[in-house]
Amino acid sequence: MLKEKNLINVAEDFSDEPFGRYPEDGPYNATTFRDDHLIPALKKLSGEEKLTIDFTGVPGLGSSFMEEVFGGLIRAGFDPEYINSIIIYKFPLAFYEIQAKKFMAMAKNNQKD
Amino acid sequence: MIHLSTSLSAPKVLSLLDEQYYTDTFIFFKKIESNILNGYNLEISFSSCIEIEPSAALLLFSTVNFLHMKYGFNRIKIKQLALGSTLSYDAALSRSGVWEALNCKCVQDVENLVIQNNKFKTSCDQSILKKADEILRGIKDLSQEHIFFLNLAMKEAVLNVIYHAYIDKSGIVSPDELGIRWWQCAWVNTKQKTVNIIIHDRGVGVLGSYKNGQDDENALNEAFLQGYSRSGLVNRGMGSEDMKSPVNELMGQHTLTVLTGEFVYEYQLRTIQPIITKRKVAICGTLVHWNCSYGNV
Repeated sequence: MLKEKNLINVAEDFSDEPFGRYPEDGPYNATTFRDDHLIPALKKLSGEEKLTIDFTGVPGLGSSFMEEVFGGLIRAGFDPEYINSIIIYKFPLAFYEIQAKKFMAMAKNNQKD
Repeated sequence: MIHLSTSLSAPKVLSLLDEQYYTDTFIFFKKIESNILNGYNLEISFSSCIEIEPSAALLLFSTVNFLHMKYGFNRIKIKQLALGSTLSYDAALSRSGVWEALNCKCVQDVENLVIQNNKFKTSCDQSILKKADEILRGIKDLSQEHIFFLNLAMKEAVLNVIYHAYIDKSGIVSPDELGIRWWQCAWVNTKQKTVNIIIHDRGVGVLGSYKNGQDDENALNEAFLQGYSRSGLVNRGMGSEDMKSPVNELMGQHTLTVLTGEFVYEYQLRTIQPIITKRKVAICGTLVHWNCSYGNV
């Protein structure tokens, strides 16, 4: 089904209480989200398909969580321009989208240093 | 073991920030601790007290609750407020839940503060943040943006407690039998339209865990800049901006105040740079306080 393939509803598919960077911080940490949900979803995309990440119902996702997910994508070998071209961020505030793009750019810069 | 009994009166105003009152407030908290450590049972009276500011109320709860849980709930008794006393007319204080929190008689009472979602509570489990979110969502006229950014800031503060508060510079983990614990409150003044979110830990303080080769003021300033972390890793220390986000992102008058050791760090937009002051009295651990206006601002 299209919805299952191209949409991650963070609250429903993962947790409405994501917390921390690493597995030792709790079951709903950023590393688990990135490795078990986001990267598999990205790998299933084909052609011109885009992936929507819906953050509705997830209050206050911390920068450390966002950095580990999106900065971590870049450290895992993904290209920020590619990610920016295929991910659609769904949330009433632009905050998460800005955070995700900022942390990917920072991770890319850190690789150059 | 038999304990002698003694009594202690709270000062006129309990405040951690007011220049006129904070010294007496800190002396009062030290006396609570020293009486218990010296083996006395203590009855605390608030008959002379006319005001308790939100952050002082949380530190009072943290101090009493810590001593209750560590040395016995029968060791500190809070004398009931007399009818007609000034504090009994303070609606925001009465509704804050602080008196119920101070009068816990057993561990189950402490757990009930979480279960019943008292505005004052303590835990070692980050899931109580969801309870704070419920309190915020129940405040009439509080915007979705307030709820979002206050949640974001609280999460970062709690992450800091978990990652840093009880670990010193050399990496030694030092929580006692009460665990990696913090005390928090969501204090709402519906008349003034202000919300106060306050989190206190009894750990080593920001400078107690932060590795640096600078003087204390610069180190404290650096600890609240994005990209600086005790880990030294380039992708860590991202959350300090989350702590500032209610001040940076919301319309209205907002202040982030952090008391840690002898230092007070105050961040608000009108001062451009954070103001850091050093005092002669020190707080145990770190207290983080967001004071935010809401409504028609």
